Amino acid sequence: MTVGSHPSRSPEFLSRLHDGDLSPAERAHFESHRAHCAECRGAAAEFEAALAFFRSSRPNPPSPDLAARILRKLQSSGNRRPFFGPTFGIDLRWAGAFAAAVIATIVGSAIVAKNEATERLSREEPIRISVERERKPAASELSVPAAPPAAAQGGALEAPPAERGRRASARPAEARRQHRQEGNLAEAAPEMAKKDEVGAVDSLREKRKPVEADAAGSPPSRLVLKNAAPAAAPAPSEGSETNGEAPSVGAVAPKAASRAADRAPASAQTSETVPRAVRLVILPADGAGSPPELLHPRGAGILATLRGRTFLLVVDATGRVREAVPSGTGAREDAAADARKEETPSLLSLRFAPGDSQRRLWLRVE
Amino acid sequence: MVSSGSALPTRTATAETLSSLSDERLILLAQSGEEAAFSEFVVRHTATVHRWMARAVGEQEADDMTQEVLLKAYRGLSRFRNEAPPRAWLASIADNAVKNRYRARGRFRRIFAGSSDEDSSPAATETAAGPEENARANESRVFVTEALSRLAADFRMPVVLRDLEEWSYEEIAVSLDLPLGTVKSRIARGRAQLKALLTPRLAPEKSP
Repeated sequence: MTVGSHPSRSPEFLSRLHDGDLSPAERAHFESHRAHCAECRGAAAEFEAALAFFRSSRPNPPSPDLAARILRKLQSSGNRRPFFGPTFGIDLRWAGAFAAAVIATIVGSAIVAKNEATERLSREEPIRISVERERKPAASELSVPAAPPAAAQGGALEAPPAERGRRASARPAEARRQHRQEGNLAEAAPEMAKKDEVGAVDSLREKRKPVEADAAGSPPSRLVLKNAAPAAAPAPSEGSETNGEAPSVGAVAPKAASRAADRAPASAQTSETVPRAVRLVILPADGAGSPPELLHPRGAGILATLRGRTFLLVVDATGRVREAVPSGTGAREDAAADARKEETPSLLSLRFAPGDSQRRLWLRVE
Repeated sequence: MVSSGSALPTRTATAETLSSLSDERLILLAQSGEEAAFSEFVVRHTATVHRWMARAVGEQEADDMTQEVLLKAYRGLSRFRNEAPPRAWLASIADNAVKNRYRARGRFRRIFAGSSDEDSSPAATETAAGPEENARANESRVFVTEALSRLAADFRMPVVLRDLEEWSYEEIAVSLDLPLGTVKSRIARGRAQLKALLTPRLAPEKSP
């Protein structure tokens, strides 16, 4: 036997039969079937009897004080009800949304204001960056006695004795190699050696002279590469481009000197209109030759806050600045220097041309 | 039903006004912070919820379950959207309470294997009934309570709402947030289980 042959075996059918939901055809078919099927007749009867018994059984009414007990319970827990619902006529959901909107507005406006201030600063008061890399002094400059670093730079730049000694031994070879290319090896080698003895301080002192002086025709011995970035769009790789294009001027003066002379007028003109120019003086601190080109002087606005200070940069072979140690304290472990490291994140964003090995460079912000 | 003169802490002089309001209006007032409106709602529906619970979980636990349902309604006032009648909302809360109660009981049974469900046993229910109760009616309640205690939890509230409260299938579907076909199926299967549970009890009664 199947459910189809005995409809009463289906709970759904019996339920529909009880509810009167059968179609007339279904009803007629079942009635004719039930007339001669004891099983279906009995099942339908039992179903109706069970439901009738179930419906007739009414539970006892609740105790009279049940509602009062529930209300007292509600009253005792009333303070916990309106978690996010209306309270004292104020819907906390809307109040929360409003508070969130106010906070978002305050924070957002602060961020926008900060961004606008930064943009305005960079737009209205552009930071000019002039980069002076290693220079090759003229013969006349080589006779300048070495001034104590602290005295010359106000204590801002000190080359450790060990560093100087290493440079003194390493630089002649470098100088010979460079000037052999210039075709003036005999003259250049002692010059570079002397320059190394003078140290970075001497060069920095020279760099302190106004840019206009370079532009006005200072001796070609002044090697001044100015990465004079326009206010709107800095051209950080300008220096490197000039290195490879400018013709050589004179026998002793390096090619870069003439390039600097070519560039100087434009830089000077721009400097006159931009009072907040920043000049970066970069010198080798490791005696490994000329410092690499500064490619991306990003963070120029922050660099302006470091004006007048000198840093020892550790630049890896890829040109990234791995470490920037403030100079002037003489010891890296000095607590004050460590504290000032926090001021130098912008220096870590500087990018130099990749080289063969790690470099140590002096950087002075002027 | 609680008399109007009871010292209910939240019932105020506006009780008479509130008693004339519809359930929907009472809930709206309660949502706006009018505690007395929800008190009126509780007074109005305590007996109904108690009746559901007496059938769904047994009379012994009906008081506690009624209180639990109304407390949950009170705490969930802000979530009521007036998309269905308040009594449907109450039925939904009651249905969940019944399922939760039996889930907890199932865990209890698994932990203490072999323990019987004494709460819904005929003896326990018989004790709860008053001595003045009609013996036959009392016996019927015992049978029904025992049968309902063995009914699957998912079938209880649908069967109670349909066969005791005489709600339509559509109302039950809306209240329990179930598809209409599911409601019909659950009620049909619940009825079949009831028939299987009650028929042995009914057989001796039929014989004179």
